[in-house]
Amino acid sequence: MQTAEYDRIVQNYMDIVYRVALSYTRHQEDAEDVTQTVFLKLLTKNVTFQDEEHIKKWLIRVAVNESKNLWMSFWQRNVGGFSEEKEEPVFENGEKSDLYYAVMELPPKYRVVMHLFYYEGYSTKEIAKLIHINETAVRKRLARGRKHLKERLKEAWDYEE
Amino acid sequence: MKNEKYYKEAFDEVHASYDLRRKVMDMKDNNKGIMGKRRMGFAVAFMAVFAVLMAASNGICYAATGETWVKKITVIINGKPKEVDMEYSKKGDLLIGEAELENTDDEVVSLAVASDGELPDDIEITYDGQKRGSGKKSAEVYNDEELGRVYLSKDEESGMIYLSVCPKEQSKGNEYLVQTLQIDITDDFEDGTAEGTFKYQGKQYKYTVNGTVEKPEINITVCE
Repeated sequence: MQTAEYDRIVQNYMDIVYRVALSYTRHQEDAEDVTQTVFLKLLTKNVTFQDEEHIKKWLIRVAVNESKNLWMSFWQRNVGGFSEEKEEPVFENGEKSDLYYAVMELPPKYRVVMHLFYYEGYSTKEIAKLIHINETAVRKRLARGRKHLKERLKEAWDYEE
Repeated sequence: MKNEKYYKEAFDEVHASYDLRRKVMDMKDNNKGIMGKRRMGFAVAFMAVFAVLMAASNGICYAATGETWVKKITVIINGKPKEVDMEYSKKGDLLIGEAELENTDDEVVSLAVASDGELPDDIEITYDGQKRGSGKKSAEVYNDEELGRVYLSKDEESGMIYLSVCPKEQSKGNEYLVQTLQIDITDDFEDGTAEGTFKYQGKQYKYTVNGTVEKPEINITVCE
């Protein structure tokens, strides 16, 4: 990959990859490991992208896969989960912080679906294709995620079917 | 709309750190494998034992179309029988069966079955919670008496190549306890050769892979 193109992709998509990784792993250092691995794969693989959306989806897909791999490698080592080292983002107000922590209480597979739907704006069909699960499962995960947020955030989170 | 806005505003405040940005930018100069990472130097993914599976075939085979067959099988997950259509296709000498079913109300189970002969009645099932779809190219299986089946696969969308180890059936009656080890060899295999070691069920193994994803030569030896 050309240096200028790599720089451009890093500039444009670094936060997207990092947020997806964080939404899965929950911990900053794990998310940073995943982010580095994703961009290393971008750098060392000859992927031909058709357009910007293709780049974004490829990066998200690899980020989800690498996050899963990280979790599983920890499982193998009998550590029982992701890194215990915690460094949390700092929020400008309590309401945003409440939402962030309420999301992070969800299991990883719910968090990723919630993030791709509410932050990245993907449809349930697109999410199903991106993370290789069926669309019904995506809807169910969304429904459970919403229910949890409604219970935790009360009136700050609107009820949704 | 309010929820989307609320969610976006919260996560808009989450950014990759300056240090991470610098490290990722620097990678282009260092090229591969020189990242200042804490771990993941060797990306081994161990697919946990997610379920105890039992499978039985009722022998009904239909819809044979060219190199693809569909066979109805009953899969029992955690005591609950489910009937699924298993689609078989021939890949080299190997018969690969794939099916999907909803397990719990929010989980879809993808099943992959490998056989080196006829459509089997007793089948080996891999359940790792990940879809084994059209994106995956299975390759020749390396069979080891102790280790089980070893094969190469490629995820077409991400381009990642995995060396997978599937143990022989660990049967207890009709139950199969299935574990799959996946080793990401994408980078190492770029030049058509990959080698390394892995630990599996208490033993250390050395692997070498040559050739292509479709036609690999896989060698596994136990490290002394």
